[in-house]
Amino acid sequence: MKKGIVIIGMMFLSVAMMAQGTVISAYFDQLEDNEDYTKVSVSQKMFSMFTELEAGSDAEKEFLQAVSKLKGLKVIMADSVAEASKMYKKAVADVNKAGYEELMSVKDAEENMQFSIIEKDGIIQELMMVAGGNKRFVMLSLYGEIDLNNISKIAQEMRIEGMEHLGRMEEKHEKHNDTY
Amino acid sequence: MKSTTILISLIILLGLSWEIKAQEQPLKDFAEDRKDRKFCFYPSTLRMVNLANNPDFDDLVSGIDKLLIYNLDSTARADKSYKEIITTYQELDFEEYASAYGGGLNFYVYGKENKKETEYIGVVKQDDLLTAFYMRGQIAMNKIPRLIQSMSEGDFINPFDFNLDDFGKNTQDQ
Repeated sequence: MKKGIVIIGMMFLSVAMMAQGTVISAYFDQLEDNEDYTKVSVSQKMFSMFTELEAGSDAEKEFLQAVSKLKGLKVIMADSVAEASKMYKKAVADVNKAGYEELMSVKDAEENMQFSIIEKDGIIQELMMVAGGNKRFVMLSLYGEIDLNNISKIAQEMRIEGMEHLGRMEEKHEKHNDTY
Repeated sequence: MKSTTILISLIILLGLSWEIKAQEQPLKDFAEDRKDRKFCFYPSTLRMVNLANNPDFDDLVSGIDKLLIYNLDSTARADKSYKEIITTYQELDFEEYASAYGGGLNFYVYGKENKKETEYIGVVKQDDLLTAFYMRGQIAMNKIPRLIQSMSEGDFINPFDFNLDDFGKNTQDQ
């Protein structure tokens, strides 16, 4: 009985640990030596440095506030890989299987995109974006405390390749709200 | 009593200066025999590279006490020995701040916070350029994206990509 409780506890713990960045970390490991894919990682330490800065304008203040709550960013991207479409399908399947909640998906002739989140107690803890076209593949995970209203500000200010898609999410989000 | 206080103060001062020196020493030890060029900047010389008096640049560098830049030679590129810099500083409790690798780009920044300041160590490898740097002080991170844009517009000399050969050419042309 006691052993059973321990096993159940460990299962819950493993699910909780899986919550932040595990799927993308697995892809980091898998693609570590593959030069076709660029892997970018920004740690909490880096984000915490923003809290020490003094904001000049209101826009800077909003950006610093948004960024200071982040715990990490990981991006995998490739501009010219033959298996981009296959990678996209596999990544989306892995994200869905890992328990992420689909927030929005965009399908067009050039590129497909899916935004998923992990939410706990009303707070978004991780935002995962997977994008894939004929030759282009992007997987992006932003984790910490995330406010969707500030996503485009973060994307705009940080200027990391791949993050421009996050701005698109807000545009779509607004359009979606206008429709209803 | 007075002499004891002076002695203790001296020991503390020496200890602190040794600690600061020790943190840049591993990079020096690695890079001195593998460098093509070396640049050392202090606050006054850092401001000199700001040709267009870009205020963002001044804000960015105002907290930097020292910046050491080594352009490493082809051997360090070929045998990938530059990775030793990262492992050495990991052993000195430097934490990863950011990294990017693959797709022709290798970029690692590690840092360690001390009581008064933060020390950073980094390696950037892209195309034929392999640069390692050590920086001590504080840096306004939110200025970096705008500075990258200014750098491409030629507002100031990119301290990570000096091309000293051009200086000679200009003189000869005249």
